[in-house]
Order: sequence, then structure tokens, then C-alpha cells
Amino acid sequence: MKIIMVDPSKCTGCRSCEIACSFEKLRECNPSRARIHVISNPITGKNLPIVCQQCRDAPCKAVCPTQALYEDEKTHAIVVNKNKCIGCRQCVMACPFGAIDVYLDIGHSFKCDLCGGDPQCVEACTEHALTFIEETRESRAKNRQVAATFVSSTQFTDTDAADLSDEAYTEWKKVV
Amino acid sequence: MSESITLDFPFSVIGVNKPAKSTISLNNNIKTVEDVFRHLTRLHEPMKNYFFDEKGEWNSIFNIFVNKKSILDLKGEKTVLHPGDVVTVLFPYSGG
Amino acid sequence: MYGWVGKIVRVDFTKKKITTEDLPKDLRDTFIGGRGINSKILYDEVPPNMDPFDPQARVIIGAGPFIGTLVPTACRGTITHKGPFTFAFCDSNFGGYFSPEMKYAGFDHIILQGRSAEPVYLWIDDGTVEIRSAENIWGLDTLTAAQALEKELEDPEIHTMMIGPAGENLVRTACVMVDYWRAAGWAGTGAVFGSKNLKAISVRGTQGIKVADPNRFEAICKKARNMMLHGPRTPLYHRYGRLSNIESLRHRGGDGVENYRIPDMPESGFETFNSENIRQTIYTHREGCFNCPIGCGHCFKVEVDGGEIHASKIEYAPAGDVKALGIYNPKFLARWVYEVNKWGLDTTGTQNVIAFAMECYENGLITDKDTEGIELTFGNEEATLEILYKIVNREGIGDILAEGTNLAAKKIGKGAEKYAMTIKGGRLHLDPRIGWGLMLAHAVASRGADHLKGTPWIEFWDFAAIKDSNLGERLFGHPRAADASTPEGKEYTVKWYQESKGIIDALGFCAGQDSSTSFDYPGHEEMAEMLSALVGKEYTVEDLKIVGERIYNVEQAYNVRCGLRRKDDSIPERFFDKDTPTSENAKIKTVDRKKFESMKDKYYSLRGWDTDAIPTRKRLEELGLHDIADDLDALRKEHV
Repeated sequence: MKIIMVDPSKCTGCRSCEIACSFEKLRECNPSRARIHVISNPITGKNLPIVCQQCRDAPCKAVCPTQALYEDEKTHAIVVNKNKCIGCRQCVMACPFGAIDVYLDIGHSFKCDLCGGDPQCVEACTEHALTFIEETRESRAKNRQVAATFVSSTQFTDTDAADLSDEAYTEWKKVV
Repeated sequence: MSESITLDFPFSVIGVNKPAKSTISLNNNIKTVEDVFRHLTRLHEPMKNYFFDEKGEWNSIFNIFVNKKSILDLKGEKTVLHPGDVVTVLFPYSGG
Repeated sequence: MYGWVGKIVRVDFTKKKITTEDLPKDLRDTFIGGRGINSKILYDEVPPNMDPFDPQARVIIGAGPFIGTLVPTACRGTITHKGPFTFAFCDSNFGGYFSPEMKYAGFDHIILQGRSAEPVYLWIDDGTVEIRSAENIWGLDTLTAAQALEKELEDPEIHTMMIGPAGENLVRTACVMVDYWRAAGWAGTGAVFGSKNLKAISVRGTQGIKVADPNRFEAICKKARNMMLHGPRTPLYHRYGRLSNIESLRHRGGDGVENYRIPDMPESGFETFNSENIRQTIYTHREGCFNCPIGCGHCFKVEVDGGEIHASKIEYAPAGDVKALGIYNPKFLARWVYEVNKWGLDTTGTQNVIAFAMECYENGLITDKDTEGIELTFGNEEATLEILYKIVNREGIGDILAEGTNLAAKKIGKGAEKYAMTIKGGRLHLDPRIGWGLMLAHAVASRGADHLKGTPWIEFWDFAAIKDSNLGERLFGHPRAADASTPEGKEYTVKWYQESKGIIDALGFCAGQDSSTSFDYPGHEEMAEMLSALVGKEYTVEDLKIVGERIYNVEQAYNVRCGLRRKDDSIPERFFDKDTPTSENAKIKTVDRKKFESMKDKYYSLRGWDTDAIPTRKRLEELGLHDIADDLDALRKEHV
């Protein structure tokens, strides 16, 4: 299953993901209707994108009285059958992330459905704070990030090496 | 002992995050500013578009200085270099 | 309606009245939005002889049709009012997230008028607008006040523009801080807010912006986004934000140190005050404005009260200002940005008056008695902060300096005017001898000494002259137009850049990422396509250019009515003096007055203005500005 991996350290708080999400789903620009939200703290300078975690034991699915929430066969995302949804907001109460909502004008619950396998928030994120990867790769990606910043006289001697692709670093080393 | 010039990128801009000074030896094939960058971009494919166009002709988007003088005030990319010269590569100023 | 929301909110603080108006179609058709519409409203509603602090003086905040949409970088709003140090047209452009939120809350423009009897703030909550008491936050610095407001309104998601104590004290170079760390700095807006007893505007909105042709819009926005992401400037922005301008400017003779009496930073200064060293010393991470694919906002750490805190944003401007004061210490740069943000001061306007004071002090026009013991010498970090606090609080000589450079010079007298590095009262940021086009742009700019609206960035691109000798002709209409070393053809270049900025400001686009700064970035063609797809009406590049020309003519016409003429389109006398040292890298060594005036003549002629810089009826009618033509005719009759 491919999942949206969030790297908060890369997030610049630009909210392109929110705009892209709302535009994809509603064909208008309204971040308040996005299924991903960035929480920013201007005092610490930290930003955190929060999106549905597509829980394996999803509380929203468990509490739904009409079984309107189900797992999509192809993407394995938890998705809403709006014909079955009665807009009771139990899912909103149950979700620990605030990742699902029911609004008056939409009428049924709405949440991230991974855009059917081509998440637009990921497409819009130019900082690679959001990436769409196989779940088995997420931890390896983090392993590699740590390895790149690991200071060792035999391997990496520059903390900035974390920013470089392998290819670019090799090339530059030839000249410097 | 080969005679060389210093190539100075006070900040590096080609997706590689390090400012750098490197030494390039002058020889029969490397005499002018253009020669230096042909040599450099051969080692460094990603940089090519910043100095040459699709036809391989000189088209630098950077401002290049030899000993702090703009090559525009010298002989452009045909400026002949001498041992000890410092060639600086800078991006144009803009904005606030 | 597509793109625009279609609504203006008018707030009268004297009458405590709030009214909503429709955004008139003819304003949208003629000026598009943002700065364009702001300038026309200023022209129509603020009498030219009105004092900028008069209760009835307007402040107009505008967000163009692009703002808050999928258009990348579409977050730049404009605040327009009569300038507290130019006494003519003035405006300021700002980023962050306020403008999109203003549109989501239901408004394209906010017009502020009147004066409140007590300190207040404005709260715009999804279409509902309220004037509320600012008693809990008046007197607080911008950061503390912003946090207090979030608590008071029980909403950490609000977006706020806020003045600091400087604005409250009507310091003429006071700014408005937006979203904590962004600034609407240029125009002294903080003081105008303060004159209305307005501390802040907070906004929260959840309404969407409609798009006429979503598929077409999506395609062009994605293209624009990719152009920016893969542009040559982007890796530079990522590593240095805009600090790389330090090196670039140094090689063009544009350092402008110690009130422009020294052309270049000394080598010893550059050793510590360069992009890489500044980055190594204070940089922490990057942030970005709304929907920006580049994220040039450099955050940094600053030492405060024995600890280190996060702050933002280092632009080139404060770096230029710190070195202009003869200080080459990256840690002081962090401190300076933090202090001007906190107190709500424009970095360059404040540097300008401090540098002026320092040169006066070093020449005996200001004494230790006047400064109450502060040694106002260039390079003195402690003195810089001490005088800054005096200016914020209008204490001692700070009360005179708080009036801005020109008025302070008048007050001090004894020939202090020669140390005022201003044009039309507006503060100089760059040495005009860098290039002829830049010089012309600065001299004629509508808000005075403006390096942003009209400076031909092409003059900084050496490649332009080397590779494509037809570039000047092709882009601007004159073979020498791209060549900074000659005054020839500069009228074409400056007009192009002025109108280009007008278009961007009317739409709400960011000037850091458009083709005028780098030809790989989105340009007029892309903007015309984005606007057409967004609003459902076809716009061509020509249509946009005419809007750009109209905007500039409205601003000029207003300035003319304020009494500005050709003689005000000048540069400080210092640059005409052959004894003033010039950088060996500058294109112009000493400015030849005849060449300068002749360059202006050609500009006025191309613009369709007379030799006294007054727009002619003929040109105004061609642009559809008949009422303005009538006003200027009436003015001419009065003076006959």
C-alpha cells in the first residue's frame, strides 16, 4: 500500500497542499475545505501537515452507524460512500487527528482518499515534505536521512550532505 | 609546476549546496573564460545549461568576473586568462 | 463571480460604521484589482492637499483576482495611502497569508477612513466585520500583541496585520507587520494606522474562490509552478534566500555604505558579511509564503535576553541596511531584523534616517548634547540600537528623527539636507550609479526612490548584452535598451518594468518569481492565460500592458495634483558631485546632469507626458482615463 509520508522538517508552511487538495475535490480554491491541513507555529517556526493516516483499525469506520466508510480495494485508503453517509459526525468525534469533517454545504463526511492513487497534495509539495511511497519504504527513507547526517570521518564529513542527492554529491566531490 | 587560475563560486547554485573555490590548470586547451567553463561542465553535466545553449554555444546566465572585473568590460567569454587570475561566478541582483 | 469576490468593505472609525459595497465592474475592467484599484480609489477619495494623518485620509488594502487561488505565489496584497513622508501617492506590497484569508473572508478590498476615539482593532470573521477595543494590546510589541490577539479571539488560525509601538507613536517610517514576520514596510503605513488609533486587523475566512475554467486554469498554474521550481534562481533562493544579492551588488558597485559616501564595503567587512557566512552564523531553516513553490523565507536565530529564539525573515533589504550603517556582523543583522519587526519599523526607512543622523553627527550638525551621549558613528552597534529605541519612543532627538529623513533635515538645518538620501521623501535603497536604467527608475518612481517598481533587472544580467544583441530591440523596442552603461533607450526599459510591476501588483503575483527577474520564470503570456482561465474572460498580453500603463498614469496624475513635477524626479545631489567616490564596478562614475535630464525628457515623451511630467490629455484619453484628463486640465487652468 502506498501512503503519504510526512516530513515536517521540510514543510515551509506554504499550504500549497491545502489549495491543491481543495481544488482537486471541489474545482474551486478553498483551503478550509481541504482534507489536509498545515498547522504552523510562528513563534517556534515549526510547521506540521496533518492528513488522514488511513488507519488500519480506523476509528471513523468503526463508529459509523451506516457503514458508509470502507477500505478502497485499489488504494486501501478509507473512503466515504456519500450515499450511505448521514452526516452524523460520529467519525469527526472519533478521529484522533481531526482528519475527517462534515460541513453543512458538503452534507456528508469528507476526508483524504489519496485522490484514487495520485494524491494532488504530494504533487503540489515542492519541498518533498509530502511524498507518496510504498509503506515498506517509509522507514528506509528515514534511515537514509539519519545516515546522511551521521558524522563520520570515513563517510560523510559535511552535515549539508543531507541536502544532496547521491549523484550530485559525487559529481561535486570531483571538483572540490 | 602547472600554472592555474582559481574558479570561485561564492555560492554554489547548481543543486549542489556548497560554495567552492577550485583550481583549474591552464594549458593548450584551456586558455580563455569559455575554455574554463567547457572543461568544468564536462565534469559537471548539470551545470551545462547555465553556461551553454542547446547548440553548445556560449550563453551564460551568470555574471562572470575576472579579478573582479566583469568580462563584459574585457573580451567576454574570449577573455584570455593568466596564472593567478580569479574567475568569479555570480548570479544577478534582483528584488528587495 | 470568478477570481474576484466582488466586495469591498468600508470601515469608518469616526462614525463607527461598517458598510459593504460591490466591487464595481468598471474598476475591475479598467484596473483589474490589487494595487490598480487601490490607486484609483486613492485618486478619487483622498484630496491631494489632505494631510496623510488626517482622519478622513483613506487606507486601502487590496487583493487582486489571483490572490488565494491555485496561482503560485498568489499572496501579495497592497496597502495604499497618502505617504507620511512623501505627502503624495504611496503604497506597500506584502506577502504572508493575510490577503488570501481576506478573500476567503469575503472581501477584495478594505477601505479604512475616520479616526477612532480609542485604540481599536478590526476583526473580520467570514463576512462579519467588527470594530473591537484594542485596550488589551495597545502598547505591546507586534509579536506579543499578535499572540495576545489569538488568545482574545480564541483562534490560533487567524491572520493578522499589526502595528507596533512605532506606529502608535506616529513614527513616519513605521511599518505594518503581517503574520508575525512579514512586513508592509515601504510606505510608513504603521504611522497612518496609528493616526487612526488602529492597532491591528485580524481576519479568518472559509469561503472559496471560484474558477471559470478549472481544467485550463489547472494546466497553466502547474506550468507556472514548474517554471519557478526549475528556474535557475531557485537553488540560490533555497540556500541563501535573497542574501546572495550581497555578492551580486558588490560586483556592480552597489554596496552604498555609510549613507552612500563610501561606495564599497571594505574587504574586511565582506569577509564576515557575505551570504555563506551569514547563513552559517544565523540561519536555521526555510519557510514560504502562501502557495509559493520556492520558499525563500529564511528563518534565523537571534540572541535575546541571554537565550536564543526563532525569528524570520531575512530579506536582502535588512542586510543591505545593516551594512549601510557600517556594521558587518551577521549576529547584529539578526538582532536588527528582530528589533525592527518587534517595534514595527521599516528596515530601510529607519536605516535611512539613522545613516543621515550619523553623517550629521560625524560632521558636527548633531552633537553629543543632542544625542544625550550616544556616539552616533557608523559601525557602532550599541549606538544604532539606542537611537532606534529613541526613534520608536520619540525621545530626545528621536522625536526629530521619527519625522523621517527630509523633515528631520529641515528641523536640524545647517545644511543637513545634503545628507538626506531621499527622492520625493522616499528612502534610497541602492546607489543610482549602478546603471542608467536603475537611475531613471529611481528618479521617476511614483512613490519616490523606488528600487522595486521599475528598476530594469535586465541591467544586472550581463548575459543579456553578450548573447543576444537584439534583446533590447526585441523585448523593449530599442537596441540599447538592455545596456546599463548608456542612458540611451532607457525610457523603453523603465516603462516596461514599471508596467510589468503594475500588472503583477494588480493581479497579486510575487515579483520575486516573475520573468522580470529571471526570464525562465512566468511572464506576461502566462499571466494573461492564468487570468483568462480564472475569470472566464479573454485577456491578452496587450490588455495587461494597457492596465499597467493606466495604473502608472493614475499614480502620476495624483502626484501631479499633490504638486510634484519634473524637478522632483531627481536623485540626491551627492551623486552629481564629481568628488563623491564611486565604486570601480559601477557603470556610471559621475552623473552628467545634462545626460540625466535628457534621459528624463525621452521618458516623459515616451509616456505621453509633457516636459514637466504631467500626463497629457491625449495619452489619458487613449487609456480611457477621461476624468483624470479633465482634472489635470483644470489644474493647468488654475496655474495659468
